[in-house]
Amino acid sequence: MIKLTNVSKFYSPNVWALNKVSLQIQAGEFVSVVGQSGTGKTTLAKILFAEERPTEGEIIVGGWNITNIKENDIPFLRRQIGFIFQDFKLLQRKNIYENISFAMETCGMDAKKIDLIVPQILKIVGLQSKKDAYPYQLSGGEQQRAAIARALVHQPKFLIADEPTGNLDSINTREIIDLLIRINKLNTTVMLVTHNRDVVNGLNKRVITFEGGRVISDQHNGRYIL
Amino acid sequence: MFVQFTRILKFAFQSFFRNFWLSVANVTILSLTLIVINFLIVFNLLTMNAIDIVKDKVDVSLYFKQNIAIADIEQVKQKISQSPDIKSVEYISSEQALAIFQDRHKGDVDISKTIEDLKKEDGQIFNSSLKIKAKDIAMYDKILSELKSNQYSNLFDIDENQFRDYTKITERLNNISAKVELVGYIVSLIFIIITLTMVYNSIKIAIYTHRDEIYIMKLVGANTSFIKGPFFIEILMSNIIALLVVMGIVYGLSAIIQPFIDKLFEGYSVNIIAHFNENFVLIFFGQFLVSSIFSVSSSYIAMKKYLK
Ligand SMILES: Nc1ncnc2c1ncn2[C@@H]1O[C@H](COP(=O)(O)OP(=O)(O)OP(=O)(O)O)[C@@H](O)[C@H]1O
Ligand SMILES: [Mg+2]
Repeated sequence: MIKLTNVSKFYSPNVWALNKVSLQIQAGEFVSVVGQSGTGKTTLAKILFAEERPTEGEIIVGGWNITNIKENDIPFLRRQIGFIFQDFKLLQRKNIYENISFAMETCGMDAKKIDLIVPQILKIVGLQSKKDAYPYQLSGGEQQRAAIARALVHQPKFLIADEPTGNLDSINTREIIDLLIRINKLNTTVMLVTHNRDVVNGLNKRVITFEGGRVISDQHNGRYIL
Repeated sequence: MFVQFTRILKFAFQSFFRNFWLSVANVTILSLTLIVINFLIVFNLLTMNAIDIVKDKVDVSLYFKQNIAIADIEQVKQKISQSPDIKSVEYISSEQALAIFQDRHKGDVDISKTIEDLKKEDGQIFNSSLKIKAKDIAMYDKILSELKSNQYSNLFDIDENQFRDYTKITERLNNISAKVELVGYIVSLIFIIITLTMVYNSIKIAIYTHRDEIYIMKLVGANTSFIKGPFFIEILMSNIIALLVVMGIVYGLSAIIQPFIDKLFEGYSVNIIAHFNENFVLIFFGQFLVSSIFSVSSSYIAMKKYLK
């Protein structure tokens, strides 16, 4: 589903965020990406998302070679990939329902479909009762669940979570990871970037470890080895 | 498609009111620019009319020496009328000239008395004359030289003072109007530049205030039309409102100054409102089109730069 071949990214001649990274992720996998700070994990995520362009190498997402993706095609790529962040990035002026429906509106979905899908997604993330609340009225975990709900509006094949639990306590972390596992079981490939040893070890799934922009370890049923 | 459009419209409205004072500033500066342009239109209309009126008054008169037979005058008139440059030749007999003079000085006792005295002494006070009008003011010089070399030129004297005076006046009017127009163009240009900068910056600010939404829109793969469309619509809205404001001001002010115009152009009909009505589409739709093209391009450049 995702295939990187010798992908490098330098932001400037002496900043090598990624250095000849090659890896493959199959459909339906749950992959954790770990590594020290500044080792290129976020850069990898951004390249998959076409927010950054690779300096060299080839990237294929869902059979689509996005190495030199055209500006106009980026929206179509992004509708196949959900993205969540450490800081949720919810719109503070909109309530939870609107945060989700806004994402659908701007992609041109019709209102009936929106009215149908949003409650379903809210149910998946367990926020039905909070749909009229504003982000500031929610706990961190709830906000992250809302952000996940938004990432699911296109029913993406692939979900990238860049340190989604970085701002959360252990209970909320557990909830979010459980939710990601559930989403993975609904046949969505998940790539989880994290620093959380317990999370990684608890998952007992594939772990890719980065160091200095390179993959230094890639293990199935891996452990957090740093 | 329709859903998309109504949503873009909705976002545009939200954005317009979210940055309300910025929108007001935009509308104001757009209106000011259009007002300057409309002022130029009115000024141009007035000077054109003034020049036409003066030109219309220009003529050359031939004063026949005393006791020349009507038949001879007729013949001269006939001859002159044949020239393709001439618009009209009008015969004014000495009696008519007197009547005109008397009419003009009605109520002036001294003059009436003098005329009565003169009448008793001598039958003819005024000479009969031919009043010649050319089709174009530029042709008078040619006409004058033709008249001077005319075979009958010994029968009359040519009075070209009036022609010279009016030529001077039209020249002066032309001069003034050219200068005012130049100033007008410069002022318009300055206003257009201010408007473009203003629009550019307002889009920059609007993008800044919407940076979170824009980020999310890009994140979820929104159509580009959804990201850019509202800004364009917002600017078009400012243009429409500015146009309506300016139309109100133009018609309002025109109604106020029309009486003064009527006094200034007494006897001629110069109607500003009629002028705007007759050229409504050209003037207002044209202004809207041009200002929209300018401001939309300016927004486009701002978006190109700040919507990265
Ligand atoms: N936009 C940028 N311009 C220049 N350098 C950058 C940019 N983004 C990241 N870098 C550099 O690239 C390297 C990799 O950064 P990246 O954000 O991918 O690290 P990371 O593994 O996500 O770290 P963390 O765990 O702290 O989030 C770092 O050295 C960083 O300073
Ligand atoms: Mg990172």
